[in-house]
Amino acid sequence: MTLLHPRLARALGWTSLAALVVLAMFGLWGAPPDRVQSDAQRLMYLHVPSAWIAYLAFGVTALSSALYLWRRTRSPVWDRLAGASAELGVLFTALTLVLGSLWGRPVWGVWWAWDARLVTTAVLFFLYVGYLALRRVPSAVETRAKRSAIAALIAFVDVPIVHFSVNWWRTLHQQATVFTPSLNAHIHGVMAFTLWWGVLAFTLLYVYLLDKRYRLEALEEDRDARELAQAIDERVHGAGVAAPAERAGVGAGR
Amino acid sequence: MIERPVESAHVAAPQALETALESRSETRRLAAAVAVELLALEALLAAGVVVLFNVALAGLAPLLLGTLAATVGLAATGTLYGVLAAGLRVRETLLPVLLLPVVAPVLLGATRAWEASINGVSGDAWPWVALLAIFAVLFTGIGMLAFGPLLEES
Repeated sequence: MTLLHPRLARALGWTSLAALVVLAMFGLWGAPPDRVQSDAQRLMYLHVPSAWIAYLAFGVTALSSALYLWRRTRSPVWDRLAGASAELGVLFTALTLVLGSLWGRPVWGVWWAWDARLVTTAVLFFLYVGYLALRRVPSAVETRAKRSAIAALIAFVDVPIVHFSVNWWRTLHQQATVFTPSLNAHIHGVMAFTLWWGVLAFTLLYVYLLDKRYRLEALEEDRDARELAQAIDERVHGAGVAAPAERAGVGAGR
Repeated sequence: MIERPVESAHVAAPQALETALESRSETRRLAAAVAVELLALEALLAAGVVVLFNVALAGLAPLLLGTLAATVGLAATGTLYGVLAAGLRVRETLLPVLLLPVVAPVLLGATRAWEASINGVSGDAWPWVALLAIFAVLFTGIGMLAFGPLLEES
């Protein structure tokens, strides 16, 4: 039912909370203010990890979907994992957009710009909102799983387009700072540490939430299956006072 | 009273489509048909643009290639999602929600490629043509791979 052992999940929850507290301390006080952007730059310590988790989450969704579609590894585990991860991906994409918007107001002077990367991130958001909508359409579990898996893979193809768009469109958004073509990070010292720490803290949080969401998904499926079985049972044996006796009779007959 | 026949028609149509799409070659033919239809529409629109706005189509090569790639991309994604949503009751609502974000790069890229070609700077159009071509190849490939598992359920 769960991805992680309950005790491990609990430990992970506390660890990620502690890591987030440390991140807040370093992000708000430990790291020096940016020379140009001053304190507004501090939002980067949340914005960049959010974006990273969004990519990671959609990557996990795509991988699980591929594993589901491949016959040899087909299992409801992958479908649940894909759904759970996509939900977290949408959450962190929304967070990325909101944080970016809050940062854009003081630094760019606008809440939103029709910058290519912003637009594609918004497109990414809507892609996976559509994916979640598709998952919500009531249908047989296996049919739904297959449909969503294909939709997830299609949506995932959009991710590299988002990533490379910053180089292709060359617009208002900052050029990549850490993963530059030469892989030579343009930030150093405490700021770099805080950023990497943020990535670590958010990754721990992601794994913790993923486990929780997976468990919820499994419980929901379990409940649906049980309700369906009960409904069929009532339909077959008829709801009423005579039902228990009849059921006992059928059982004995077998 | 009026609702009933409407609803049954909505349910019947996807099922008819599902049976029509039972074989892979049918889906391939459907995608080709969509592409031809789109190409005819685009030719008409292009003629309209040339005549009405007195535009000289300067960079013809990127224009034609870009249009072809965009059309293949649109047809592939449209068919793929059409099959994906076949048989769903909420198909009419869900299809645009799913399809529009996916084809957004195609719409953007094709628009920019045309813009550059019409303005006579076909050098600017080529990266977009490349993007459109990558998109077309990717989604045709995904479509061909995905039709197997999609159709085996029906």
